[in-house]
Amino acid sequence: MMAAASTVFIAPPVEREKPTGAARGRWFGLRRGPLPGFGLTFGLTLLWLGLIVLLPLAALALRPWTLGIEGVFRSLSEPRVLAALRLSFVSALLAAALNVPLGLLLAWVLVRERFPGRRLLDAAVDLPFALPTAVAGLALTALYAPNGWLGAPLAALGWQVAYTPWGIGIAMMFVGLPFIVRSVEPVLRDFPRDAEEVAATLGATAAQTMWRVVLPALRPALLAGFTMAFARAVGEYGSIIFIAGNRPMVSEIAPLLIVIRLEQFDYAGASAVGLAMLVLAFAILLALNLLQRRAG
Amino acid sequence: MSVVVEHLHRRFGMAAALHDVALVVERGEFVALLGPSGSGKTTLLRILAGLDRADAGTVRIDGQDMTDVPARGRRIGFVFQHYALFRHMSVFENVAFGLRVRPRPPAEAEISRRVMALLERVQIADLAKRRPDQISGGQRQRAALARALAIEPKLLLLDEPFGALDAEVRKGLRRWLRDLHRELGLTSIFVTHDQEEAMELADRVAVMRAGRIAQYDTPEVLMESPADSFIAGFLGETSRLQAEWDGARLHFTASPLPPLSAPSLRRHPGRPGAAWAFVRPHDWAVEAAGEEGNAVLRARHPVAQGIRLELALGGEVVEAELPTTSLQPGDRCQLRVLAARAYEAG
Amino acid sequence: MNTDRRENLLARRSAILAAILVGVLFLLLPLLAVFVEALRRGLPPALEAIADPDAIASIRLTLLVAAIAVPVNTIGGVAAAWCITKFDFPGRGAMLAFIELPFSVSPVISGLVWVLLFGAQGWFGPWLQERDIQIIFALPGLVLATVFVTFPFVARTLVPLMQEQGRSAEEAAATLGASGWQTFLRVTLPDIRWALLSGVLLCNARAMGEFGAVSVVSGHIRGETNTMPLHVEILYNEYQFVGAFAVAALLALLALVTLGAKAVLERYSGMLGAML
Repeated sequence: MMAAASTVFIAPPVEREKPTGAARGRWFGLRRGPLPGFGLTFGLTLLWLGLIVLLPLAALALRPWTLGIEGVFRSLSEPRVLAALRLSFVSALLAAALNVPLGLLLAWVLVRERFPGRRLLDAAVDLPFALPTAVAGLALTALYAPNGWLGAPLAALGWQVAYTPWGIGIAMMFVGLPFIVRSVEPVLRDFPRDAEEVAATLGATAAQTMWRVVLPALRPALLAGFTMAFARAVGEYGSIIFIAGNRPMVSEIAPLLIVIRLEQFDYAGASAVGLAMLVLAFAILLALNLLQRRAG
Repeated sequence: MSVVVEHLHRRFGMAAALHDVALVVERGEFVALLGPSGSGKTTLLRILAGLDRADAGTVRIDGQDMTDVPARGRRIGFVFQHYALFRHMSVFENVAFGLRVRPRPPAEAEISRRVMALLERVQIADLAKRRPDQISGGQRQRAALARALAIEPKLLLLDEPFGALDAEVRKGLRRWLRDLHRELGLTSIFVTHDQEEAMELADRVAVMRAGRIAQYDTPEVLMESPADSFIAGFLGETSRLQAEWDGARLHFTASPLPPLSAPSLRRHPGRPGAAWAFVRPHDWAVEAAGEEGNAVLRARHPVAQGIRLELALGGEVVEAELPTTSLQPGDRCQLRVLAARAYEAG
Repeated sequence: MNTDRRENLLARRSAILAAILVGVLFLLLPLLAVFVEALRRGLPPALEAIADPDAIASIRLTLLVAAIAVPVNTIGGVAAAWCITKFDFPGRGAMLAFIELPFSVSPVISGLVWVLLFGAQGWFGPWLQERDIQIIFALPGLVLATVFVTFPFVARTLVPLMQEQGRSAEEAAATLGASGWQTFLRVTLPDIRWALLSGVLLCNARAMGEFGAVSVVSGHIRGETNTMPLHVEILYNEYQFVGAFAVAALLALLALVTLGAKAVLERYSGMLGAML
């Protein structure tokens, strides 16, 4: 009684935040909590999810094993496959990493500064989302080809971008950049300016404030953006195959290898590469998520 | 419309939100569910409205078991804590909603007549065309009430009806709501954590604590004879002191105060042992004293009928009220308890 | 103090300049290149390429695929958003994660999975062949691949908004006697219409522009199973650059219209960053 009585004076958890649906609602068709439509929407969602996403992915997860475990490993340990997987994952990680400072710069300027053309720049950030990947691929190839607007001056410097792994990186950066900008922007917008002003009154320089006050606050958002940019880049196909040159062992990405195996009706081989990509990607996403949780 | 609640249980995961709650509300009564947050009062209100389900127990309204009646079939007026007005509708359309969604809605002219009559009654007829984000908090509260009344409920439930309003508006709305309740002959139950609000408005108050109803009585009985130490502490501005009851005298164990004999106690524990003593601000005697005084005045400020003193007594801070005093902060003084209520601890 | 401020201003100016440079060189220049390449020989050859029967067929096919895939994902997305935000049930988080899954799957894999199910050597391949039903290398395959790829868009724009709006408006409607449909149509839908429209637009843009997934299931039969992006690839591989860029420019216009419409919608609904 005594202990209970005194806890009352310390504010206990707010009761409004408790879940409101009845834990004991009848499952299908009938009421679950006060609002109607649980059976209908739950059933529809399960059907839609099951048929469109889960069933096909189950096929992907099962198909490679028709080769036997050994067959799968043989199929995946071909040098061409290893080279393609390495190229896809290393390029995607590098492209996402390079996008972090670029994305931060764009987000910072869009949120904090007012200048002519700001709205245009804001719209331009969404271009890689909206532009069909084949169009982006074509455009990037035209730009970075040895006779292109950007390719020619770079070629004069002895740096060929198109038809090399550099081109792959450029395409991956292009499709991934908006993810970083758009995940940092809202956090930056909500970031209280007075935190920076407090740092200044405490004698911090602008650089110290940036490094010790602002960046730590943005780290979770940057990491989330990095994660999404990486996920997008590693599977990217349309914008890359035009610019990559697609030379086996040099500039052939893993998704292209899937297409090539499929064209040879090697379903099991194709799905082995596909499954390997998914497993690797999810392992990296999981690691990044854990990192994010620790950072957040 | 009478409400009878019996053996109501509700759990959220491991935590019991309601434990064996029983409550009877008579026709025409105005009842407050009062308690700290987390005590289960909102859960009880939502179960009455059909917005939540009980794990066990029954709710009967006018004798009818409501367990399988969904919220939409109950015709209970519910005013949400933050009003839950439909954002994209005008005040008029908000109030008209309950009429329009009927299987056979009334004619447009009839809807218009009834909505305007309601808006007149809650005194916001001139705001009919405004949207919820274009009116003040007090006006939203009235609009939400009009919307709930549009379905002609016999039972009206209000969740923290004044919680989001500032003090000035609260006072006015409170009286107005009590008058409205009487005029319309409603049965009303409202949730609040503000004891002053509960005491002023309600015919009966159910004090809730940790999922149970600790006491259910009129405000007078609650103030004069709280059932246990929780209610005594929750109601009124009392100081709570650790004590020991030996059957004849109450000894203060953590404060340098002389013991109190049985006649000075408005209530004493049933059996000897550890106890809590509750002392109201005007039940203290404060006298100026030299170095030997047992308390030090920390601060003083004027209140309606005198001066409120904040005193350091041993390791505790207690509040006392005197008609007048010349004591100044920092002065030593001698404190004595004139009267107290004591409850068994634990 | 004064030099401090001047240095600060200089830093800000260079940041703006750098951002504009990135925006122009990295983001806008590719768009410009599409139109310049398309019009390299003037407008007539570009228009001619678009008026080509195969190009027309690809445009028609693209519209047809989107016309099927977008409604499917809209209905599914709205149902999922309602289910996830208005009820508590075990596995809610997992459901949301599964809905977002297609976003982190390579487009090529999104096509591959359908071949594994319905291709000649797929799970249901022999069964379909016996009955002479063609899914892969035909319209159904294109639709399925597109539905997979655009699966999350609508649900993903709606869930955060509906979560934020909470359930009290729907609960209020219930206490006032509204049925489920009345609540959805009169209370919920008006509150989410702009976000819904924005999600549908994004879903549509992706459906019309998808390349990798449909490339795998299409079979590239000219005039029959080539969508616009696939037609672009074929023309490009045949060195018909003007034609390729002309059709690409048409797709780029679609992207610009989508972005413009989305900007307008955002101003209506006051929400930001819905594209992610």
